[in-house]
Amino acid sequence: MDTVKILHCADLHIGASEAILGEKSYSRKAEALITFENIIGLAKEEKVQLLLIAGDLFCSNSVERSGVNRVLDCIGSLGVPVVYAAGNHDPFNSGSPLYSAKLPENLHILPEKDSSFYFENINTRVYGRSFGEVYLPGEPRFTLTPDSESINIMCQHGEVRSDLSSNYNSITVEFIDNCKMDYIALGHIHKRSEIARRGDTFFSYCGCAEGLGFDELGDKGVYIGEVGKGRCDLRFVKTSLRNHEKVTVDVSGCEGNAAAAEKILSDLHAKYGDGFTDNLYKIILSGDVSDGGFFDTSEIASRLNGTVYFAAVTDNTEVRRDLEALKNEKSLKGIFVSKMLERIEKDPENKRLRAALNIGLKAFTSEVDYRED
Amino acid sequence: MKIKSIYISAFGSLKDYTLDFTDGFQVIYGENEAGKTTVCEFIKSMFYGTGKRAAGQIMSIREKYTPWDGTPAGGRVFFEHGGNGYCLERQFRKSDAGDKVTLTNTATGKTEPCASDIGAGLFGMSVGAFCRSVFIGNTPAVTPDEAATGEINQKLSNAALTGEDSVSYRQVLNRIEDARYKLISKSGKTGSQVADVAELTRLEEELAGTDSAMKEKARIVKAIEETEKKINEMGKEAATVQEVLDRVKDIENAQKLKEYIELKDELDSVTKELTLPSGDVADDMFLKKFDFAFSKLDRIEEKVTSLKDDLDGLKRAAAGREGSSPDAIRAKIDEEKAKKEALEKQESEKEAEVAVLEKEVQEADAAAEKAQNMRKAVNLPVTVAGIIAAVIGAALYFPVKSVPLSVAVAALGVVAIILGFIIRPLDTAAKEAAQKALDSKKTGLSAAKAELTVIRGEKNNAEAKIENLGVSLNFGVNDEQKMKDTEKLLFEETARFEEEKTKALDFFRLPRDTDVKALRRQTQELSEKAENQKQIKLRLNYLSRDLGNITYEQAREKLAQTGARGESADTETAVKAAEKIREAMLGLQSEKARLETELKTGFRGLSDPEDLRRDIALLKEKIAAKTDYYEAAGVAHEVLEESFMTARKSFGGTLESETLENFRKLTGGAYGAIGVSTDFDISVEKSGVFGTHELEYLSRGTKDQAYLALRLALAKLLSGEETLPVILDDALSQYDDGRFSAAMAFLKDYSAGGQSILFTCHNFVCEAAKKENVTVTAL
Repeated sequence: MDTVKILHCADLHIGASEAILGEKSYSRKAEALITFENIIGLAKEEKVQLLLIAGDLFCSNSVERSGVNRVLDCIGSLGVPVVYAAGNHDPFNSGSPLYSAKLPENLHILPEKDSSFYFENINTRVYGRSFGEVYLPGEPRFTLTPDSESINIMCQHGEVRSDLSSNYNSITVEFIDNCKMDYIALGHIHKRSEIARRGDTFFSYCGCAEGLGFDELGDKGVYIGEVGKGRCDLRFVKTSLRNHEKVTVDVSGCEGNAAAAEKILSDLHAKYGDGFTDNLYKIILSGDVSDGGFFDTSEIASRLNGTVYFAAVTDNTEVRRDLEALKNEKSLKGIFVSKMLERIEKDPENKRLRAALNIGLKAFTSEVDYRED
Repeated sequence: MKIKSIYISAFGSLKDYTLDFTDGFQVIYGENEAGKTTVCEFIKSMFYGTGKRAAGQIMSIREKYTPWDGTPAGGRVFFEHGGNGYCLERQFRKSDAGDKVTLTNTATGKTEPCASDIGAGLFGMSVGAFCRSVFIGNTPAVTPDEAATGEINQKLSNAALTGEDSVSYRQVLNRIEDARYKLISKSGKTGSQVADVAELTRLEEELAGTDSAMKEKARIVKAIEETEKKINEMGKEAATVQEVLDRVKDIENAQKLKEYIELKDELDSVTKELTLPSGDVADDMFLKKFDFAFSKLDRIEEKVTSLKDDLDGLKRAAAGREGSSPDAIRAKIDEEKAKKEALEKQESEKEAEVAVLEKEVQEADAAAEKAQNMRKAVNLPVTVAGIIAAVIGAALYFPVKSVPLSVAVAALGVVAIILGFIIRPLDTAAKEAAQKALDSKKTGLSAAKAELTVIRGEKNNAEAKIENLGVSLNFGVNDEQKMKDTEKLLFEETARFEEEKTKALDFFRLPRDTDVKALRRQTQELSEKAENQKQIKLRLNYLSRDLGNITYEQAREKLAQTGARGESADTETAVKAAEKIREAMLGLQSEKARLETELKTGFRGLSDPEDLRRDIALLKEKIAAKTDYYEAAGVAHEVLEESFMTARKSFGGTLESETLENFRKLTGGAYGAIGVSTDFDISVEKSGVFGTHELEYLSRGTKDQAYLALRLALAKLLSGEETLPVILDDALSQYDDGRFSAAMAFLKDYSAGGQSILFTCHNFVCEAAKKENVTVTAL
């Protein structure tokens, strides 16, 4: 057998919740488990021969027992080997829910020390180690020598970096070069990486399967495909039920919050298609508004949350003013504008001066309290 | 700038309406509801749009002036500005931004680009400043309160500075300050940013704590591993030492092993002896069972024997009672019963007799008693004496012829006779006779009673005999029954004996014809051997335990091995070494347990460091954004203050002098000085009178004049190079005649070269205007 069909996933963080979602955080929490079920379904559909879980399957070792049981049932139903390297969020020790659970036969958990499992039917050996605690110092080299006759895959949760200073299993280039693996399935970094290569070793982060916050934008999923000696044909498959997106919407010309909300929905639909309502959005309002007008971001968010799954709104609009005309106005406002423009001219890169101008002008018509998004 | 004319296509109640304006001062007259205010609003809205609905207003200007019939509002304003003529056309739509606004140069016909609030560019001021300077509406009713607080004055001054009616410089500044203080309070101790910084510090401390806790945890895990390693190594060492100890023990145990083996052999031999033909081994347990089973038989046999004896006894007793059979006894009983009946009859007769005799005795007794006291009928001697006396007495009369004497003797005799009946002697004869009769009766009674007693005695005897005979009869009957029962029981027990015997023989696999007694004797002999076997077994168990529950084969092996070695062991050294290792192991295990407990309990509730780092990063971003905003607001605050000072400087002195100029003209020089404070508080000084007075101390009329003077001064100052039209919407309605005339003259003068338009609904205004040769136009 020259290649083996694998599914590489990681960082499910089943059991984690997003506090910013409020009441929806509970249902959102359940969606991580649903995504995992979908991944198992995908593995069956694609007839993968090996499933690799590169760490942080659970958000912690205190995850609910019902979730753990469901995960184990899903794994058991797969029928093909599943190799799991525990991560820093769910280290494999006596506190782990998997430690004393009845594990399905096809689930192979890598212990804390460098180890391997051999699967004869697919002539594949999977190497790696699990986190036994929250911190795991990296090693300069992998202590086991790969079997040249089999396909050698490593499953590791850790940080690829140039040194061993990370507390989270630093994986250096030296390590990658020396391990002589055909493919290294990595976990820990939630942002997917492209398939990289050093020598004959391919490696990648598949990223998390479901975004956990607005620092994890866009599609999330898994890698699936064939790997073998000098070969790595993996493709990304989206598994996330919802995406986190940060979107800037120009609301110039929108009179009022309702109009702004409509514009936002229209833009989102255009950008993300019919499924746009499923996502979570951070909306940044931009553009010019008429003098005296301002947007109530809370009202706009409420209007959006009736259509999309979740939206938070920040106002970055600028009041449309003819500053040149305004500076000539014989009024306090005019003098203020004039003085501010002088300062801005002297230091055009200083964003605070622009902000000061906007704040000052806005203060003539409304409160200018800082609004947190 | 001058407004030449307006055309209203539709605005409020006005439709398709044209109004021309002149230069200088012009009065436009219209009755109430004629549309004066509508025209004013139209002019303002054409230049500035309608704006948003003001706070506290039910509807916006746009809503208010949208024609009810749905006709789109719109119109044109023709005006001159900068030497050019323009037509400003506006079609009012939903909002200022949506209005279609066109500015056409009437000379060239070209359309020039313009914003919705074209007025800001043309007039150089915002709509707010416009409304409070050149656009003088009917000033709010000057109520005492407003006047007192100088509210209008404040609004006017604020509007002039800020361009907004309801906003003061202070308010603008406060808004900025509030926004800053909400982030960082004045004291620097509270505020959302301060809270965020505190939270950041807490998170960083927690991370540091978590980091060190994680390192400590890792150290403990490693320590546990090392301890386990040491335990394992020590375990190996312990195993080695144990081996030595075992060997030592084996040597020590050689004697015991020997004894064990010998005893085992002996046991085998004894066991063989105890083996019965049936194959059972008559060991202690077997013999006990055997004894139990056959003891049971013995008891049954004993019982059988006892029953036999009882039966014999009963039979003998029955034989002894020959002639005293129950039937004979029954005959005797009948006899005695008959006797008894006869006696009872006699008894009852005798009792009756006795009863009669008793009655007689009673009667005799009563008679005797009565006789005891019985007396003779008369005391004869006394009575006779008395009779004699009486006779004598009577007889005496005749001889003696003495009556008293005769009477006395007769009386005496009578007395004696009476006494003879009174003093009677007892009748002893009767008494004796009664007594005798009584005694006789008593004797008869006693005899009868004695006979009765005899009869009763005999009767009792008969009863006793009957009872005894009854008892005898019972005994006889019982004995018969007893015999029957005993025979039955004997039969049953005998059968039971046979049955149990068969059972026991079968249980122990003995032939049915076994001589049980002989067998019992035999087992007595075996019991000694069985006891011996038991003792051997006990000893063997003890040795086996002592030797570590060793089996016979192991014992032989060990003995062989021990013998083969021929070494002598240093017991003491081995024991010490073992002890040392044991102590060390205990110590290590205890240490391991302690570390494991520490690991389990010492890190509960620890946050995930990765989560903490993430939270810290997000919080830092948040703090940076707030800091930027805070600093920017600080700059805005600073510049605003600067701007205010600049505004004050540039307006201050000029404003005062302009205002004073206007005020003098309006008041006919009644006031010589006016002060306008930094807060635009107006104070005035009457001409020739020392001392200034704040506006609230003056009359309404004077206040209005002051306001007008100030606003016109502001309008002039704010106008810039080109004077602006002043539009007054019934602004002088509160003026008295004198002031009004002064105002009219002033305005005419003020408007020279420029344009002022006064809208009014008052005829007297028109009359006054005409007198001043001011153009008056009717709406």
